[in-house]
Amino acid sequence: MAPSKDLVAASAIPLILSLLERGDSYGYAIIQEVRALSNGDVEWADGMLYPILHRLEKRKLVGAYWGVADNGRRRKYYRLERAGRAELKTQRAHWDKFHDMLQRVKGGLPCST
Amino acid sequence: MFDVNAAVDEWVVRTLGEQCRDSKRAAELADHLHCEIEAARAEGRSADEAFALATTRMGAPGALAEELAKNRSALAAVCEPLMREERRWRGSARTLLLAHALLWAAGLIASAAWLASSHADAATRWTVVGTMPALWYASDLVVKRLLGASPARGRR
Repeated sequence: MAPSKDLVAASAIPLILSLLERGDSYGYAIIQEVRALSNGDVEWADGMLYPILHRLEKRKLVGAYWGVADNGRRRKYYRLERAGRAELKTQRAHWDKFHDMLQRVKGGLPCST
Repeated sequence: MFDVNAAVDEWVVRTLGEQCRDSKRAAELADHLHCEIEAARAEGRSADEAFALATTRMGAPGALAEELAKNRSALAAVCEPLMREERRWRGSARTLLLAHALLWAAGLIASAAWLASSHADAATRWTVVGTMPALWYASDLVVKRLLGASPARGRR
């Protein structure tokens, strides 16, 4: 089942930062990885990813450099910067918190421990 | 015979319009489109079919250009806090530049007034005159370094 637009939007930055934590990547590959991770349920429009990447770049959360792809084309790669790692840590803590809350409610655990 | 490279170049120009002057953005978009085309070719499509499918996947040129230009997508909405921070930073940068300029204007006037009214010897006068440009250069360097670490650097 495809998640709502709001959920897709909210998860975009932590997903991008997480993927870049695994290694440097580029726009097309990031979209493909997200599609694969979600088994096709999350489809990022091509035009929507780049504004986010460019903003993350401006904020120094990610860095960018130009390389050459296997086919000889110029390709812009993105890498996670130190500030991006800190941001990812924060975002993960938030997502874990919500996940934990949902699990507690689902499992019938008490609201406070 | 269908020329994929020419078709991609033309599509990028049509899509980005004014933004096409930013050759890096155009190169990034062209690379993405080529990747889509290669994926479609791997599915067994001809070059022109692959191009048509790839551009469909990329979205309508007008809509895509608007997206890239205005950052008004649903996904971009999550960037709003970052945008606010950037605007706040730009305000601080303007204040810093203004303060720097005013400080130096005041410093130069005060130095000139002091040189005119004091009975300092020639060596002292030359020291003051010689030191001021060096100090100005150093403070300008510091300000530029501060601004260089800003989100505005490399703005497209």
